[in-house]
Amino acid sequence: MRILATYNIKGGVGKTSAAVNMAALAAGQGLRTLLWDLDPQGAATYLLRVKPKVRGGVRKLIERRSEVDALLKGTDIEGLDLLPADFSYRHMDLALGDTKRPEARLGQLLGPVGRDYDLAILDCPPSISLVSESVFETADALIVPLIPATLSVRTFEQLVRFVDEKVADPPEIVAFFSMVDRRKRLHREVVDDLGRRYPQVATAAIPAASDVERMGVERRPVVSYAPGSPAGRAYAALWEETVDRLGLR
Amino acid sequence: MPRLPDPVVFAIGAEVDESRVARWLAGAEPAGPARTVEQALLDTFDGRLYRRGLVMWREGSRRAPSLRLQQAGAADLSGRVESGDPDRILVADLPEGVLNDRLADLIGERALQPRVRIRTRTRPWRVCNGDGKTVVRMAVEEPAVVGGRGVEADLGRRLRVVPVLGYPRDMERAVAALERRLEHQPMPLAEAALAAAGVRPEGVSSDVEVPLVPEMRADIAIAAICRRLAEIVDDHKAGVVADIDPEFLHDMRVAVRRSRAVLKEMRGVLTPEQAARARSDLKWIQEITGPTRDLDVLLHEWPSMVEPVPTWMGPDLGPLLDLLRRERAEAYSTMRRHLTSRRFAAAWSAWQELIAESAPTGSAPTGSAPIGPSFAGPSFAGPEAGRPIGELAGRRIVAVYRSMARAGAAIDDDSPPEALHDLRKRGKELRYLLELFGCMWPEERVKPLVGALKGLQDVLGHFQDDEIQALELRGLGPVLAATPGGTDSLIALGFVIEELTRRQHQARADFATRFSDFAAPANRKRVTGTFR
Ligand SMILES: Nc1ncnc2c1ncn2[C@@H]1O[C@H](COP(=O)(O)OP(=O)(O)O)[C@@H](O)[C@H]1O
Ligand SMILES: [Mg+2]
Repeated sequence: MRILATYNIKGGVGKTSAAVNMAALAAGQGLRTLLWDLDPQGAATYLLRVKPKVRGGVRKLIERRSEVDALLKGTDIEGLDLLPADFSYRHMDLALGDTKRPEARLGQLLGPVGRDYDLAILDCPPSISLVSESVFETADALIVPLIPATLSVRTFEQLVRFVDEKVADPPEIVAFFSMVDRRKRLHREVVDDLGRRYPQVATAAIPAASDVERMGVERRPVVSYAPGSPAGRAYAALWEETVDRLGLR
Repeated sequence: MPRLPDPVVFAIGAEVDESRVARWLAGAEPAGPARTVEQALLDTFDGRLYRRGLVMWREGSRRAPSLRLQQAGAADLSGRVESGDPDRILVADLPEGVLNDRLADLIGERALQPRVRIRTRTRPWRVCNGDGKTVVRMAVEEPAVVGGRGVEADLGRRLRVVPVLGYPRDMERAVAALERRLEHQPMPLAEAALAAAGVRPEGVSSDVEVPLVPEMRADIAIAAICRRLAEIVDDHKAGVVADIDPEFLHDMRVAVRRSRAVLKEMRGVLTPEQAARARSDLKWIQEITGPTRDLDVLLHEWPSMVEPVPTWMGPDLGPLLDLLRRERAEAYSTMRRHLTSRRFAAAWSAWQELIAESAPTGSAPTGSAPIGPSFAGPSFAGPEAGRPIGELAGRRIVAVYRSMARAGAAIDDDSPPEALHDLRKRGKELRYLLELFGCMWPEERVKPLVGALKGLQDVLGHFQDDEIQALELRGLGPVLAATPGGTDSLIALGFVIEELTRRQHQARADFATRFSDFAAPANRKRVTGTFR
């Protein structure tokens, strides 16, 4: 099982939208896919119409007193299962802090289902915390959405440095621009500039599009209800590029 | 994906309108357009999957079909087939992985072939909860058996109810509601399709299994066995000619060899003239099929034979393997020509005529003569035709066992290889006698003897086959030398021959132990005590 994680220290940048769409695309291609919604707000869980509820809560899960198998939910997309969010995930940091090697714990939890899936995608909450450190240790690659603004360039550079310096076996990074409006000059400049300077930045970018926002109403991935729209096609291109870069096939 | 409980399947009678499902189940609704899927149920010619309770479906396009193996009490295994003929799938065509692991030993060299084809029109349904989330999947299915001329048999309508991971309660509720209105479909699709198509699921067996009693007349018993063996040849010949898989030829040759052994061992049942023609015809059949079989074995053994070749020399073996494949192709087309020749047809019908039940003669058995209806007997007219089969077969088993014991005891380290080859030949005859006639004696007496014999035959077989293979490969040297890259290939060939020679030595070294098991006093006593 390969593990990807959508990550950015900031919220509202398109992590969850990317996680849900990429997971649906992977499942559509026949990969047995698991999406783990790590964000206590449960946006991914909501978008897949599952109740944000993990029996026993975060403590039992982190202390390995819950069977991960029994917490999984099949989604409406064949080949895609969900490990839902739970409001108690807001204490995941504390629970991890009480374990011996917090940075290894998320990987250990996924161990038992590793044979059942080809791919796991972890949708992270925005922050830098024990949870994200454990994600960095566990994931084979981080999928990092970037808003085309000067500030987000700095956050990206910080992340790259942090991962390189602090993580023993650093994951690969696939960054992409999210909510791009090519009509804006600033967007074009940032996108082109960062793309030139950092090989981690994908060529595919997700346009700012109401089709993506509509996910909250449809409660389905864009790639399910509007696969041919610019946003749907952009997610498909991003997924293909990710597959190529990471050698997922 | 984690394993889910099995789907529950209901039969929907013709009188039931499927739209009623929506009324029976809250939240049930159609979930998309109808689809038509084609499936083929696959199995080997001899029904190996069916015999193990396995069901294998081939689905999807013929160019890249996917396979799905259903096994009771365990998750389905699946894999995509990317090479070969979708109507003739060999282990080598299966992708590496769980499916291959599960099937490799079970089907061996057998090909998976379509048993029956099914076309199913499927209309997806689902049950949603308050969030519009699918919590139970359903499908109304209308499967039909299809053949060359389209639909051949409708298999009725079914409602398949499939659980969604994490929603067991909703599944329970749906099943309970449906159970009140519909009957469970008792027959799995595979079974229903086989029955409707009139296909025997157990496939075609090469077991002889002719029931005998010791008091039976020898001519009747022998003819019955020969007829069954001829039937095996007939069953397998088409597969040999179509080159489906190597087992067709193997099974056919075993049947012919067994027939020859019967003729030889039961000499007195036929007149010398009757036996002579049959023996020479069967010998010819064995000869025309031999080269192909030898090359099949060589190619099958290839991976283990080339193991000792240093990895970096691996590519040098390419021309040799190509050559072997060409030789095999040539041997096959020669064999095929023979098998479809007039000579073969004539030889085969003469043999069938000889072993056929002849017309009633009217002379009923008298007094304490061996039982068996003489009015339906064969035309065998040898001096021992009327003797009881138990006595004849028992005598031959004892005689062959003793001759083997004598010949084997005389073998020492200086004996020529021919002495071992000869012993193997007799061993085969003993084995056939035990296999074909052993049913007349208690199993617990026959079985240990078969076991000891098998142990001996294994080493003798290796001893001879390794030599034959080494000679055969050596014989390819001149051709190989003349092909591009042939010199490198010759050097690599040296390693292969060395390995075969090493194995042959090993077999010879093992001979003494195996033989002393076989000829142990306990076995001697068992033989004389049982069969005489
Ligand atoms: N490409 C886009 N165009 C328009 N709106 C977007 C786009 N991507 C995400 N959004 C919207 O922005 C909000 C935050 O997106 P989300 O994917 O949940 O980000 P995060 O997981 O990083 O918090 C959501 O309301 C979402 O619908
Ligand atoms: Mg989010």
